[in-house]
Amino acid sequence: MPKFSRRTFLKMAAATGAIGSMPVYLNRNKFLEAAEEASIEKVPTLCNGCSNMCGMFVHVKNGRVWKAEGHPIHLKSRGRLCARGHGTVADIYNPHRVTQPMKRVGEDRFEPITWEQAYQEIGQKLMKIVDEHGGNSVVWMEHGTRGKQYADILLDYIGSPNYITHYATCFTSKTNVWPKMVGTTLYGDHENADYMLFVGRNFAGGIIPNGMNKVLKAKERGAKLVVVDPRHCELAIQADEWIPIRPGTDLAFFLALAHVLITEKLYDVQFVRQYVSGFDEFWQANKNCTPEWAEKITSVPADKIREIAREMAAKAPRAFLETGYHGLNAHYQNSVQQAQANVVINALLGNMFKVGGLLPAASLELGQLDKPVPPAKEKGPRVDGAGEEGPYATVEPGRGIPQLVPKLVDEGKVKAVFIYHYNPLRTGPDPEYQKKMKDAELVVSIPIDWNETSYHTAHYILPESFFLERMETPVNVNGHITHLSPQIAYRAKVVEPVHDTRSLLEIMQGLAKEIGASKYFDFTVEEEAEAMVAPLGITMEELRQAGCLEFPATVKTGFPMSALGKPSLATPSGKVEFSVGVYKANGFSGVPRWIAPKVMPEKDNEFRLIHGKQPWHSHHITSNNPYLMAISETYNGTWAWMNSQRAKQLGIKNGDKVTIASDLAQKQVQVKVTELLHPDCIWIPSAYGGFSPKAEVAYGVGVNYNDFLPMQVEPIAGSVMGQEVIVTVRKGVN
Amino acid sequence: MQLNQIEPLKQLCLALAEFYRFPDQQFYQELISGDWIQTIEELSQKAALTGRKPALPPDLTFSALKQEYIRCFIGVGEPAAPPIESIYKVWTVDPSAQVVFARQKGYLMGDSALHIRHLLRSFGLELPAELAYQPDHLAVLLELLVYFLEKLEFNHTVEYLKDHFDWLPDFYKRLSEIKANELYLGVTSLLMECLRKMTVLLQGFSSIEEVS
Repeated sequence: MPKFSRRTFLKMAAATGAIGSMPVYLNRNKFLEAAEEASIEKVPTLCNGCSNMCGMFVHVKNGRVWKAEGHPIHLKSRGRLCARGHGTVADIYNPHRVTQPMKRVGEDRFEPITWEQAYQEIGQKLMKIVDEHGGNSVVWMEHGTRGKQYADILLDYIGSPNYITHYATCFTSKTNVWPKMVGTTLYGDHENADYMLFVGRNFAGGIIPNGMNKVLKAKERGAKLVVVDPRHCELAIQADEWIPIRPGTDLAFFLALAHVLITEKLYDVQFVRQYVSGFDEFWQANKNCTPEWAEKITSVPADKIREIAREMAAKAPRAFLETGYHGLNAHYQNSVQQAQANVVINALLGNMFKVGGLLPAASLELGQLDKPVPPAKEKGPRVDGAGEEGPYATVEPGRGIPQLVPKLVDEGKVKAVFIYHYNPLRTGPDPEYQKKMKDAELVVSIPIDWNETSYHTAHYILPESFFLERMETPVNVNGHITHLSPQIAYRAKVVEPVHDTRSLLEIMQGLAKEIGASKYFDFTVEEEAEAMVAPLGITMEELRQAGCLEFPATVKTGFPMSALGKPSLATPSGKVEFSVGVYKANGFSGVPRWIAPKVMPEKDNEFRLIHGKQPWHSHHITSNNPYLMAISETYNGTWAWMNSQRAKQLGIKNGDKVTIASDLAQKQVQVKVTELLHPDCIWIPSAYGGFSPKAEVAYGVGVNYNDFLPMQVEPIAGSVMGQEVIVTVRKGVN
Repeated sequence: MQLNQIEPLKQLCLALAEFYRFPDQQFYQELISGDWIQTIEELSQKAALTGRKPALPPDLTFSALKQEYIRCFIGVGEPAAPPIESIYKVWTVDPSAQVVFARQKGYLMGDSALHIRHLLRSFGLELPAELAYQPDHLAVLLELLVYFLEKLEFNHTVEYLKDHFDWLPDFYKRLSEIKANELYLGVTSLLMECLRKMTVLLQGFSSIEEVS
């Protein structure tokens, strides 16, 4: 007889009624033949290949994901998915996901643990930290706002104000500026425009399928598309004109456009008189910003600036300067002023709230589940200083300053860090600096995969279910592209989890039980969803069937006016404010005025390092996907781009390996030598440079701009200033 | 060929299956006490298996055993060889599948997993929590093999062996590539020999059954 003791294994199921009532296929091939006959179910849900959340249908057969296609109604996809959408689906069955809770047991060493053990240990540590150091020492960081509804309950319960997003690396200048100047955010009505000026936004790189569809429809109709970008990006391929600009000088270009519009009286005088305040202050500050002045700064010929301004004015109000996204709004010392100037140009064109110009997002007021809230606790000031008296008073507290967290850990001000759906070690500046986060007393990461942050800093990894394995609450479908009729969509659970993973709500419920907060999480996502759609006169069942529902138009054209006939934007004056009072009150200029980039390349081997998206990757988040990485390989997608004249001067040829170096790092990469890049810069895609050994496909492939970028904070909006870094480039790898 | 030759092979399958499950303290204690290795030796002898046997690494600590398991079969920090059938086979042969990985290897929940799940449900069997999400995990396959040996005619078990263990050479190759320790290489090598022998024996019995 064996001397060993075996662990309990296969057991008879409690309910075995099915036995005998269904055919049993012992032979694999016969089973598969029968399985082929199974029906296919089409489940509507939302994509997670990037943050656009395009509507999609996922076909399911025998409980497995079988096919993905775009939802025909959903505003973002309109029947089409991009490469990321199709590619990302494969990740559900990728064996490299985090398969169950993990606990760090050493450097690069983890052990699988049960959810119960994870909750218990994390709960005990968290409450000890709160008791000893206060709620203010706890930080919740995440990519966007998807986890906020649950994070807020936890933070309220422990008395922490520290909810922080990744937006400092993305569009934080835009979201800081627009509410203050316009009271809302407006978007280009691409489909109906006659002239579209895109500056620093690669709409075909950070692609929204129906967004590009609208741009191309406008072009077919005869609209003009002009792209101003240091690189001949994917959108430039579609453009009537590509104008390479010296990176970091877009503000000067905008100020010169405004100069032409004003001096040649091409602007919409009526619109400005009625709906703008601060025009004179703006003009007094910028009346010397002529096209000739801008030419020296931007390298865009003065005549070209005049031509663009005149053409836009001729087409106004069906002309707009695209309001931007990641590009420009977190990149430079002058990003905030650039975003302000964007508002100014569009207001001068008189295109706001007009068809073919800029329109607000269509949205509906959703309901809210009535549930108990934690008793109010005194919260101290935010630990990152966002929105607090001090150097970052104008930074939006709802966004926060994530790049400060490692420093705050180092200084002992942050003791516990929760990181949800976010990978600051790869997508934030200076990964070595970011690693300081692991020195906190408690670091919990809630990812899908073994991202760099989880691998290198987390004490506990709590894997969230893949987006096809979980349900989320309904959302308004809007942003980036315009539509007069609001839409509601939601993310459905398409298949059962492949691993021992949980939804964020389930994770929070498990943790809440350990810290005595169960009653504040005593609800289901289904209950939340029902409450949210209730005011719309629909049921979740209807939304479940359709995936996406459209409602009668809510967007009205024409400037918002009060009952008394006065402009009624959500700004102090009700008008578009060219001068921002809160900036002035904090020692900054109220109106945009020229500020030079923080750093400039000077020597023969110096370049500004710039970066951007590729249409088949969503920054780094998709880089462990073998299908998307196969596209990278096909198109030499990991290569850096370098201007051919500069390359010649340095003896560098197409395909050569070069060494890129800053004060922080020295890395090697192959280069594409091209005339399609401004000579001042070197461009690298933002998708690569993986350094989590567990993410095998991405590991060690290419380089990332964040390797070279120091931690810095733009003072008004708190951005990382992601392109304020100078690198040297030399041929060879030694 | 003797029917009683099957019994040590069956016991050996059960013994070896334990090595593919995450080690707990009890398993570790029994392992370092030598009980497991001795049992495996005895069963191998009874079954007349002559190939490579597992060897216990010297001074093996519980922590080291767990870390080697994680390195080899879960793969934190470096490439691994998960003991899961789907990964080593084309994901599906169903021509209607339109996902990009349909004809690729390296993915979970392939046709193999689907079939095993069907078998488990059909026979009213439940998996322990740790393996509930991995129906075609090697430990499950072995357990099911023993169940079939006890419950089904041998010809069905032969089919099952051929259907669900043909990936082991690829698995062993992967283990060798990642330089798995002698314990796991030896266990897998012995398992392959054990299953080969079992297949031959069962085929013999099956033909006798058919003739009679």
